[in-house]
Amino acid sequence: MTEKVFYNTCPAAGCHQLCALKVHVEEGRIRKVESADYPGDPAARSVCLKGLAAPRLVYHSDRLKYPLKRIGERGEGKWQRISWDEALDTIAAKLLEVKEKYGSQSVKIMAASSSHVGVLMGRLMAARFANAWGAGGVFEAKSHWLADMRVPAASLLTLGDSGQTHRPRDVVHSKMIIVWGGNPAETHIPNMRFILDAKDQGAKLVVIGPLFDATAAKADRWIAIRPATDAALAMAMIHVIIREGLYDRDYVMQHTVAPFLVSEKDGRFLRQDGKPAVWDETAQESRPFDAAALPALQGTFNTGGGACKTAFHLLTEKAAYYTPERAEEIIGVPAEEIRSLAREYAAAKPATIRMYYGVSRTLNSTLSCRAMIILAALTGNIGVPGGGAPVPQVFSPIVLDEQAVANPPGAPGVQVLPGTPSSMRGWAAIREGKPYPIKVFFNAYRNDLQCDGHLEGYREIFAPMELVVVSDIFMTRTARYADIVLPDATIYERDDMVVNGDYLQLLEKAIEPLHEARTALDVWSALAERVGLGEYFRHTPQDYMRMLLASGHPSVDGITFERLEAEKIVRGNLPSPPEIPFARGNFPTPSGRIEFYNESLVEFGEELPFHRETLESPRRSPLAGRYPLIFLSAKVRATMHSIMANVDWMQEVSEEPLLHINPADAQKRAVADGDWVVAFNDRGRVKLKARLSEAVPPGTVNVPHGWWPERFAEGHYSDLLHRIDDLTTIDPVLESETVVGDSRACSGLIHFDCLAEVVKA
Amino acid sequence: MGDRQYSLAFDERRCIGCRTCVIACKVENQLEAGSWMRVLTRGGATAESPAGTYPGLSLSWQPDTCRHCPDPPCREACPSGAVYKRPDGIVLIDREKCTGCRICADACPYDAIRFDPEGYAQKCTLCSHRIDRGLEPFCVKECICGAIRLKGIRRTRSTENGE
Repeated sequence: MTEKVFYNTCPAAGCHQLCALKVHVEEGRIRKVESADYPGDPAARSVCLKGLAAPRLVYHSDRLKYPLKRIGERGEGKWQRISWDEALDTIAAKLLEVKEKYGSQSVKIMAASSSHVGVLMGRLMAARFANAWGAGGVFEAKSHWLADMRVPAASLLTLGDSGQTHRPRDVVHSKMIIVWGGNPAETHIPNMRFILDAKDQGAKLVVIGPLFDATAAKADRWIAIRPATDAALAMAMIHVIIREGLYDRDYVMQHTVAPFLVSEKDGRFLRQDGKPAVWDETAQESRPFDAAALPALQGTFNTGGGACKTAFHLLTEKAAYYTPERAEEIIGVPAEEIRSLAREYAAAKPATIRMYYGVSRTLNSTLSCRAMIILAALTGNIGVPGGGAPVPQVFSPIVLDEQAVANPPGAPGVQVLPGTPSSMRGWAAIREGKPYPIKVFFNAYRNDLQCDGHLEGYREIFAPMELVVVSDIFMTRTARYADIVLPDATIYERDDMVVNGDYLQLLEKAIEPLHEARTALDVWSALAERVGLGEYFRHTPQDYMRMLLASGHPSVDGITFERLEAEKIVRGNLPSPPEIPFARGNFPTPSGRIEFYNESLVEFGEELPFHRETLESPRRSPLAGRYPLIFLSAKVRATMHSIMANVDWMQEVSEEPLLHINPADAQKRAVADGDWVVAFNDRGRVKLKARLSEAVPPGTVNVPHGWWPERFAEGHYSDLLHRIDDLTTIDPVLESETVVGDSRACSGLIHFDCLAEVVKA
Repeated sequence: MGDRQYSLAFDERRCIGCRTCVIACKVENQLEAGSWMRVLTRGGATAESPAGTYPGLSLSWQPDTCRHCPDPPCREACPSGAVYKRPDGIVLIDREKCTGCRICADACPYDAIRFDPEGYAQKCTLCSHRIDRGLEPFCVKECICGAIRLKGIRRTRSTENGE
């Protein structure tokens, strides 16, 4: 038997790992996949249970096999098989019709997700069509949906860089690793080994979060915090560190805004000669920061510009409220434990705070993340190997010429939907048809109706649309609400490439598309031909990859397509080891320093971080009387959002989806392990079995994220979450100019900010 | 080779319960349902729940499969002589000789014997087909946290270890 090996990657790569895989093909069929070696970097090789099971997706009996046309109501599930010609003719005719009636901007094309792997097929082919067509409905906020971009936002507001990152393996240099609000042992499995390596070398692993998960199980110390109170813990640690003098004074003086004088009048930095001013202890007067011999760190001063305090003084005052005793009351962790954690963190150098996205799924969590970054700044842990408070995702330093592919010369380009600085406002605008209507909606390779908020919101948003097209490999919950469904090719059925951290990886076509599946390039080309844009789609995937690699950026210097084709995995021209952000003390903030005090946020009352009870807080929300339980939907190892959740092998190694409830809460509701229960709130309900578990604290319930509606007796857990167009879920800071103007930081949904009640069914 | 006694070593400290080994075993041995590898949990009353009361909790995992015992009770028990041990220590079951009587399963102290859809006994072969080609067992290769090692041979991540 002849066997061929192709290089590709994991299809469930929303964990941002993009593990390179070798695909073994025998007689046109994938026999297996396995982890592939990275050139000269054996430690980079990785795969997890999901990647190894990837062929089960390809050969899944439920794969969409041919185009479908809706014949019942939207969502009713009545379909008719149609030919590709009929599907494409119908779509093309509607495109031309709405262009005539409403303009080309009445077409919105959303085809990109962390789940659809491949620079070309996952994103840029659709973008090319959208630009060539002049599609509209692009939000001013970069994101459209979930977008866990509060950590990047906090990073932008404090350090001036939303993409600052330490590589996952940098933790081997750490003496203490704080995993804050995440579960890498299940959701970033390839990274967990580096944490274990660090532990083997003596590093302490601290895990902060409300659920006892697989990562907490490996921790030296688990801080079982009440959900969404992370800012109170971080501020209490700041308080202890300042009060006990455990901060790195030199670092704080040199690299943060600590000595800058803040005017009591307007909360802005006092400026002299156009520069932030400090109090010079020697001269006993305020001077530009670079002209003072001995700047004061603490104090209130009467300057020529009025009464001022140093920024450090203001931070000290703000943190003083969060005594460990008061914090204990808020976060539910004993004061002594908070004190000792602060002391240990300050003493362990270097120490890293790894913020995960779980920390950012509540309304006020940008404040929490800012406070965490301040902890790293106070202790001099910024800019050093093994330190930092990086964003969890490695934004690749490799620069491709994406514009050359996405926006061909002569194309009119896409149009922004004005007044949409957040995705919530964007969807509300589309629902209302303002300022212009969206009549045709392409939603390709995404399962938003399951993963991003509840169904009713989408129904209303889709209602005024004349055509909704979904392209996918399965009849997902999202595809069910389409008018036309197109069967997509999997990543093993097409040629493409990805950028994965420091590497370029070729994605090789291993088999012909099964059934009648077609690649994104084929579909967009065929549509373009029908609407008179065929001239833009005369290239092969290889042509596009050549365009991408011709960016002229030093990171791809000498990396031709031919080289990528020969070597499959190529490291970008990047410094090795990778640069540690801010190693040279260079901060791209307005002041050039770490802005733990951010004067642009004075208008929001958030110049310094603090704890504010979250939107649906059991302590603050008026809903708490009826819905006393915090409703979480944490990720699990067998699924990546909804990908792989329909694969038999993943179900075989997982529990069925259960509602995890603390025995104390269960007893109050007369619920026994295995009983049918209904979890509900004003937005929706889900029926499933209960699992009595100490892994969730009293007052909180958890349903694992990812499982499809078919696996629940009634409803779906996502129907308890907020609507995507819910304006009450907007954090105004994330709609500010600074954040909206950044390429990554943005607003996002608040999936962990929901209250519910549970009753026996 | 004769003095080598291959078997697997499990490191509970490095096991995160991810089940990649369980899937790897299915992949390599083409097991549609079930796996010769399983993950044992040490915790509370139900599968993945911890022992203790919130927040004083503990939970740990350990991969588990055939130990390739020095003196295998399954070999002892098999009435048809289907179980044998290779000179390198690997314990295998000869499907031709197996009658499906299931006596081996009762004899195994580790509950490591499975049965194929036709009722014949099967279990971890230590990927002897890979070992014979100088490769590690597939679960060892793909255990991302290094919780499974092949004893009797030095394991290196630095070598190209594909096919």
